[in-house]
Amino acid sequence: MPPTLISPSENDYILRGVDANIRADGRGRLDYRQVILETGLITQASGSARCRLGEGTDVLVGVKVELGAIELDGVEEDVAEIKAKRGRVICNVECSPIASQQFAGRGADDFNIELTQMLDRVLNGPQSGLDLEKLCIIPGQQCWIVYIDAIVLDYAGNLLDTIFMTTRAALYNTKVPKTIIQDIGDGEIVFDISDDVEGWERIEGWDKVPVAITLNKIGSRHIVDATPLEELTTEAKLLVTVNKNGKVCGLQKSGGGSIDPSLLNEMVQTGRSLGQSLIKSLDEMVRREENDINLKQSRRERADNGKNGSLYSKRHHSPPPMRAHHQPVMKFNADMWMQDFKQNVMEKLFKEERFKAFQKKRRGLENVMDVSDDEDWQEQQKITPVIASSQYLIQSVVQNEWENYQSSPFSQYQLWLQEQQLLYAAQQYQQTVITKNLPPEWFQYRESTNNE
Amino acid sequence: MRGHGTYNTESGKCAASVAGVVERVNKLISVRSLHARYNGEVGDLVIGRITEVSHRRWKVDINSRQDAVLLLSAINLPGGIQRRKTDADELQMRKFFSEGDLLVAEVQGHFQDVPQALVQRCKTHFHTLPYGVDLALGLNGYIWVSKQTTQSSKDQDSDAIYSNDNEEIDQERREAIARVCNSINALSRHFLHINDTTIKLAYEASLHFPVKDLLKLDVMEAITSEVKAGIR
Amino acid sequence: MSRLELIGPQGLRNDGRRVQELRKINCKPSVLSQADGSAYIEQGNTKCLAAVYGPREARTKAQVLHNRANINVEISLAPFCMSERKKRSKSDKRILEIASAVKQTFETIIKTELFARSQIDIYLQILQFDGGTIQICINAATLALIDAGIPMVDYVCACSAGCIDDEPVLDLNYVEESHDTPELTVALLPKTGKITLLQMESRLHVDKFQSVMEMATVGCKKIYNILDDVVRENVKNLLEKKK
Repeated sequence: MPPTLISPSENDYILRGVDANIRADGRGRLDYRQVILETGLITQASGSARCRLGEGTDVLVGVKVELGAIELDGVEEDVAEIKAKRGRVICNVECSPIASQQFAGRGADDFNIELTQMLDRVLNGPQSGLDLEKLCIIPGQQCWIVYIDAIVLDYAGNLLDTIFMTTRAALYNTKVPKTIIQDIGDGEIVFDISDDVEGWERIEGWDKVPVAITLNKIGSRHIVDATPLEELTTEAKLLVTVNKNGKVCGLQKSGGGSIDPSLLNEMVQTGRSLGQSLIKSLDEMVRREENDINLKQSRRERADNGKNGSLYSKRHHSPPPMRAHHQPVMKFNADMWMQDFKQNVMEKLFKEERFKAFQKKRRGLENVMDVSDDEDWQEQQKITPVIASSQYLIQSVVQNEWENYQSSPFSQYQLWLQEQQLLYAAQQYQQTVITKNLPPEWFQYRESTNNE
Repeated sequence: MRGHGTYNTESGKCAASVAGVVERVNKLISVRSLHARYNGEVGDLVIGRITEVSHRRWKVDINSRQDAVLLLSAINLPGGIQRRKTDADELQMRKFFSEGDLLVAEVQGHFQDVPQALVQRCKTHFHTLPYGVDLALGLNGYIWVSKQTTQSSKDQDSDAIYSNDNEEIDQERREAIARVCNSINALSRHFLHINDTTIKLAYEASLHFPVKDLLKLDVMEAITSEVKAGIR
Repeated sequence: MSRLELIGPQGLRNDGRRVQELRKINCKPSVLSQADGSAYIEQGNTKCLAAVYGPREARTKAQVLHNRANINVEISLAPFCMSERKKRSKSDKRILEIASAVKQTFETIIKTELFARSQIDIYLQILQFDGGTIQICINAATLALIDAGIPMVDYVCACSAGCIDDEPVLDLNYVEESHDTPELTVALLPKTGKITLLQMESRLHVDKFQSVMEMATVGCKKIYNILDDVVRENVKNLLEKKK
């Protein structure tokens, strides 16, 4: 059971260990545990991924892309104009009691809300990276809603980083159905969902989704990827979200302790460089995995002499369920599912009264599409997160005291130099993340098709 | 006769109630499960963590089906070994052990006897490894790894037993401790026995790799296969 | 809803199975690091993960029973488990009912009198759903309890059966369940053949009942064989490693 209690001597041991750059399990301050990533595990979801950190923290993320109406009620004019052309992202994090006894019953509620908010703030913020405009089907009426659901299956510290990593991989795995929009005259637009599963496109902007690095301050140093005991020893935590271009997309400090401004700057820089190298290795992992799967699929296709129709060549995008693995699949499965899916959609639409209301209102919204002369909208596109301004503030504080710090031999500057060296070493180390040749007993949720 | 892990069916036959190995001693048949929670025997050495401080006793979590009870009368108080427990002692219980503290103890009460599978009973459970690391193997599955103590127990100031201050530990010692911890972790993941021989073998095998690599699965496999080869 | 043929012309169901065929079962014990016992089971496209904690100190005084262990079951469904994404609260009535059924099933099976004043927690997480909640929860819980080494009287294996076009069919999936197929779920103790759980929610002609029951019983026995093989193999592997 992850300890919620810690003894003062353990606390002291960890503190000194961090200071000496040897943590309880031998890692350095900036070393991550081994990351193992798998995608495409849940066939019913539009995209899914699972990430495991060493033998501990385990997070499963499922992404579902569903039709929904664009909600413009109670929203002001200028915001409504923007919202009308975008899809939506709805996040949810759930800590299962399987992960730890403390999450049973109502124990996880507060924690869930906290994690959901953090995920939501990044993915619904301006730096989320996802191209929401591509998710709009009929402006002002219908759009795709991306539901991102994360389940925590095992807890051994460092939850947020894992959740972000898995979300990113799940989004890589997500494909958005293609819609065929028809203008049936008289100003009416209807759309149909394409049957061609192969034509579905990967969600746009998945690579711009940021990744989070949690830095824990213990004593006067900071560490990355804390274990539960180390988390109990932290005084303050700093969450840095970084995207692949090295831009810091968000900062959040939590915990009761305080952080020195110069230390804060260092931590942010550390988070930034670690984040970038993490993104690189994660991307490499998911791409390699997909290549392997495609290879296997093509090999199997040839072996089957075309028994399995082309509908199932891309494993994760075959229409969901309903097949026993040992039997060749009937062709009418796909149609049936498609029928089912469309009927669900049509029923939903039918119930939406707004659909009819907007049909009437539609005539008035003709000019909304044209934004070329709308300056405010252009401006808004360029907005950077508010938090960036506070980073600016920190920068200036540091500049002023820079001379003092540089001169003193016991200053943070010296520490910073050391940190840079450590960082470099850590980055070198991270390149060698291993995903292949896992021992055969390694547990995989994936369907048995993977064991061939 | 039937022992633990078995029960009588309605037809009077003896059936197993857990998945495990059948042990036959003369006429006593019992089934030993592999993954059971710790069930102590009298005299067992265990390592526990204090969860609760109550009137004249502490509740200790020893990874068993219930928390164990440590009475105030059962600990060594400063000022001599045999001393009557006064009221002042009762009020100062937190001075000795507070919530979250770790301790090493011996089981004196009655429990059912199905031993924790991996830690074997042997003559002594306190070991000193040649790398300057002290090991206390609790039979409940908890293990205490620490720096080698230099003082003999006689000279030790009895007050100091309850202090929370750690001694200074240098870099190498820390690395050795981390290495030992990771080797023990590797042994338990691959379900090998944990005693001083296997730990020493695992430590030697782990010297090929940097300490932090010991957390990787393939490295753990390599180490455990060497240990297996070494045992035979 | 469009009427579709649940049993095709060649006697094959919509996923290619015959009427008396079980879905493919894939299961694995000992998959989690924190729990005392855990198991992962896949029945066709339904995936479930079970974790068992215990026996351990009861968390609240109110739950302590002086002569037995208290069993606590919690089930959660992932929001993406069905084709329509829906977040279900933990106190959803349907889920609570299933949890209660699982709890009652295991109360008689686990030898609770050996662990007075302690608590055994069974947590189930359904990752993907394609029909057969109760059966997969019970099967997963059985496997996880065996993995945790908690003494039990016997395995509990559950299976569902129904009646389509006057023919008894085994192991219904979601499509079949949602088309008003009468569904009967049976949980039984394989060694003695005793039934611990019997649930049916729709109408079934009493003449057909016997054959559907038998079909379900046969299914349970098949599941028992599969689970038993997995458990034995797992124990054998672990023992070999120890040597």
